[in-house]
Amino acid sequence: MERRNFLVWAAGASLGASAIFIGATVIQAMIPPARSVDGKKNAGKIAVARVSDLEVNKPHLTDYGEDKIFVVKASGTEVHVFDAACPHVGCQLIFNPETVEFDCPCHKSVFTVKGVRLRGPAPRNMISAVSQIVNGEVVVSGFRA
Amino acid sequence: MQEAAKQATASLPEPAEANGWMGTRESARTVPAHARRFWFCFGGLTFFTAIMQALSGIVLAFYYQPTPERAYASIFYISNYVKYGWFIRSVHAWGARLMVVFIIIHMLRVYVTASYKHPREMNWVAGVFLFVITMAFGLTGSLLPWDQQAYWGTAGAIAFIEKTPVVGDWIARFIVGGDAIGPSALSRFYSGHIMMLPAALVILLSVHFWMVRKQGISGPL
Repeated sequence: MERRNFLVWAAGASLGASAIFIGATVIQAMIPPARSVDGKKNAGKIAVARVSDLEVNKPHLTDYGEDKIFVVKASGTEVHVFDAACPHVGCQLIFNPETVEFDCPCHKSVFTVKGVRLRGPAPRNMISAVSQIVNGEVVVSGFRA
Repeated sequence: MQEAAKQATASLPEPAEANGWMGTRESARTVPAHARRFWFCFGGLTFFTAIMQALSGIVLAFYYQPTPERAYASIFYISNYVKYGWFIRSVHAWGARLMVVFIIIHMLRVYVTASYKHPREMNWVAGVFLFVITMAFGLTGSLLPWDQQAYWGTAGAIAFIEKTPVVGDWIARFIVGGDAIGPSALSRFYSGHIMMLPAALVILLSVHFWMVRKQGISGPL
């Protein structure tokens, strides 16, 4: 092989390698990650509670994947599921049955039983999960992005 | 015009002595010897960083959410959970700084080699506008992370603009979209950063390159 041909070949090969490296990085970055924007890991579809076991506006604390969640029955057919961590710095919220509100023990953020931020340093409402009622069971399929 | 171009290339050696696939594709318009120096590369390097900014910016726009509640959270998400997100965000942030440095070196080179002179004055003017567009990219992009540095950096820049005589207040209000930096400022800066400024950049860069091709590289000193 002549020197000039080799240099052309080497330049082309390094350009091609760069293109493959950049393309692979960009495409991998575009694939949706396993976690939602709040950093919560989607654990797939899991039945977390029976609707008949729940009482209206009495949140039920349970597990979903690696996270704690509150399952809140609003009516016989309406159930809301929230991440139990405060959207501020992630302390686990405590339900106060007297005020029917979620209180954060760390920085005094307060949320309604529907997860709406009332006051405190939390920047937004509680992180909600996607849920369905299937055969009388609350099935969580992941957190909202 | 074409006759002049033919005469200009006639004195150059014939390029295609069939050195393989690449050899037959070499341009007849070879770069003159005096321009084969590294300080003539900074215009091209600026263009290269611009392409990298576009590529990394597209990926960032996949995940960035331009609202006060979500902006910082989505950037945190990019840095921590998106695969290679930390890398792409760093490429975008460092590329932005590097692009400004490259432009300044490019402008100094053009000044020192007197390439801005007749008949290339209008290309210098186009270049100055490109520099202003790049600085505007920097201003709008620096607000988007929506952290303390972003907020107060922008507040400082807006305070400068407000000091412009007569029209300062109006311009500042127009840029921010109200009396204070808030949600509307974030929307406006994001729109400018990913729609208005890229469109202006593509148009002006086309003019810039077209004039370089048409006028050729300036002669030796």
